[in-house]
Amino acid sequence: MSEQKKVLLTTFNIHGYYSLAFGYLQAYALKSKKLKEKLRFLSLDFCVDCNDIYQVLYYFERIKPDIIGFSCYCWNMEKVDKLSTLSKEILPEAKVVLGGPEVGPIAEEVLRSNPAVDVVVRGEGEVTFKELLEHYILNKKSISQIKGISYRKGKKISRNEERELIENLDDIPSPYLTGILPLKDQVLYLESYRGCPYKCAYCYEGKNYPHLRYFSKERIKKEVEFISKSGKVRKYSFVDPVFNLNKKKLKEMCSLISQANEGDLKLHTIEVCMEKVDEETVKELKKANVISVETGPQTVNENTLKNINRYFERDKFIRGVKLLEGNGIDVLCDLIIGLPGDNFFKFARSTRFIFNLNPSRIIFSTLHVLPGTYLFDNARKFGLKFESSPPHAVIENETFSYTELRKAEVMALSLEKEFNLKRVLK
Amino acid sequence: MIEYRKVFIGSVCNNNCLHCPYPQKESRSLSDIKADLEEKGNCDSVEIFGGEPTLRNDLIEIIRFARKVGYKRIKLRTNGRVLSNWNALRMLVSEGCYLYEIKLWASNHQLFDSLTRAEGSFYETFQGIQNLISLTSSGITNVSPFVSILIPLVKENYFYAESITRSLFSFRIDRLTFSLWDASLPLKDVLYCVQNAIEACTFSKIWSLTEGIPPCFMKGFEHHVSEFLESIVDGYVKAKKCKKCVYDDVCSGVKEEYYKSLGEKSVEPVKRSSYLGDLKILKNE
Repeated sequence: MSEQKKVLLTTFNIHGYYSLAFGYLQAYALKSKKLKEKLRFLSLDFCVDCNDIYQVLYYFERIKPDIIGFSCYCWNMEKVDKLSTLSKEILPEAKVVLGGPEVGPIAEEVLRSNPAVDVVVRGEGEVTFKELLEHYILNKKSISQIKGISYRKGKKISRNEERELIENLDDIPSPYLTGILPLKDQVLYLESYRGCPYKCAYCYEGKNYPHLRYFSKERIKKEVEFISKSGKVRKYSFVDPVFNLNKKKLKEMCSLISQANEGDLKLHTIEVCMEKVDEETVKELKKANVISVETGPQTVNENTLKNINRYFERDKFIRGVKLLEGNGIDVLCDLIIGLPGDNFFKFARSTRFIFNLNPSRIIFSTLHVLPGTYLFDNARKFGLKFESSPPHAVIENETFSYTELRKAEVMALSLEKEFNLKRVLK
Repeated sequence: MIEYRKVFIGSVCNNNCLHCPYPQKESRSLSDIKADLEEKGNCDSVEIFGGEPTLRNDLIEIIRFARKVGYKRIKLRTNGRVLSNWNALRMLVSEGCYLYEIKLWASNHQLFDSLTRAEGSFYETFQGIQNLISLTSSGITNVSPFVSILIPLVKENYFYAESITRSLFSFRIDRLTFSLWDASLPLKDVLYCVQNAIEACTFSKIWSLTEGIPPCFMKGFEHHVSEFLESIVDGYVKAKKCKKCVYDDVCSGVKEEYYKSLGEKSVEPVKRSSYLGDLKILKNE
């Protein structure tokens, strides 16, 4: 047997988390028997706050990968940039491939600004990455024929045609059922569909993947059963943009989860559209053993909601939160600081609205104007100024001056801590 | 912005502050305090104040009772001296008291002790703050307590507002409130000192608020006016001139004592404000 090529997938996550995407990439690539024979995957998840690039570089040097794949988000891009440059210094032969929402929408710009990067995968990565591995390892297909990538070709940068989305998501084997990803309590994530029917201006999901595609019920059921039977996991979650998309889907999901859950597996922090939560929804969520949900409203100010194309109905939102909290399901409410149309006192108004509603937890975050979002593309329209480099934090907009924004952030730090302390005495 | 049910535990104190609002030192019975705690309505947060709550032998019982009747946030307004005792602090925290507001008069012991008229109070109060901040690193709890500091502004200390503020920067406190206690103060001088202190706080990522300073004097610092952000509190009156102010509908007015002392000079009607529309909405919700 010839020597296997080493493919290293790596990223910097929030502490304790690990990349579901790496599971998918490996599971899909390993469908190919030839690739399975010829390559060996290594997946390393580092902590964005506690690991520095030199620690990671040490691993690189020890492993000597042939291909390094980085998963790129706004919170880790600075490190990925530096690390990819350093890795090229010590491993000049290794191919550096970047993917993820931070680089896909601005692929050519990334290639221009970082000479260490060989390829950027745009959009959904499973099929593209597999073909790229086949190109590098099996010499199959010319790189110019691989859809969904931008790449360095000598001194030039080439952009290949778009990759069509995977219509049948079951084509991607489950990273859990195949044993690729370990079962870790609290940070285990499943996915039941891709895409989003909403088009919030600060998010790339709905803009880039408006068409909804689902994993089969059987597949999800098997995954939940597997996790439940393992005895290793007490809490897990779904990464679905909106768990309660519609009643029919919700009922199907909650029924299959409750049938598959043989123990006391709890479902936490699923994203919901609060306005759609009614008595029936709560009943379904309870059936699926949901213990907490996360929701907006991000802001409650009419003009701002219009600017960010965000759906919000005050009375229905209030009803939803009260129903969930009243039935023992914790609600985490999110507000974003720095949205176009808001200012300090408008943000204070949103905060007061949430405080009066008294959910279990409140999460404030500053707007990040992410590549691939409507706000990124229309920044000028709203006078949005933001860091051009990741994490693209907003600096000001035409209604929210930098002074006010800074004050709002400082106030939010204080209020968030004070508010969330109530959880301790729950 | 969080609404607290305020429960008075009596005016007994181990300080003898020059500017204390309670000349008579009287205790309140446990049953009266419990009765107050029971009247919680929908409020899930309580602020226990005095006098000095930590002097009560039954404070733990009060906290337990507050928890029993359903309060989720229990805040103690204290001079912080007893918190210098690790055992006392450990007990409070283990019973679920995670929010503290400490009154701080000065950043040097001479001025501090002269205002509290209690020798050694400066060191105990600062040790109390230090202990609160060290709770998690010392392994006593994994919950970081909420520590806010209230600086009462009086004629002896207002000039030092910024230096008092800066003395707190190494403590990573969560909020600072500048509260106007002395109605005879020259407001323009106070504003200069307070606004410098506010800027220093914002720079250091500490949220700061003012209390009792008429909002009409806070141009450029409206964001820090607690009367704009919090619900209206008792003890405020309107001057006649307030009718000419654009903030009339959204402002609680001035503190009663302040108005008594300065009369119509206690306000300065504002003619224009870009915040008015937003403040009106904020106030009416």
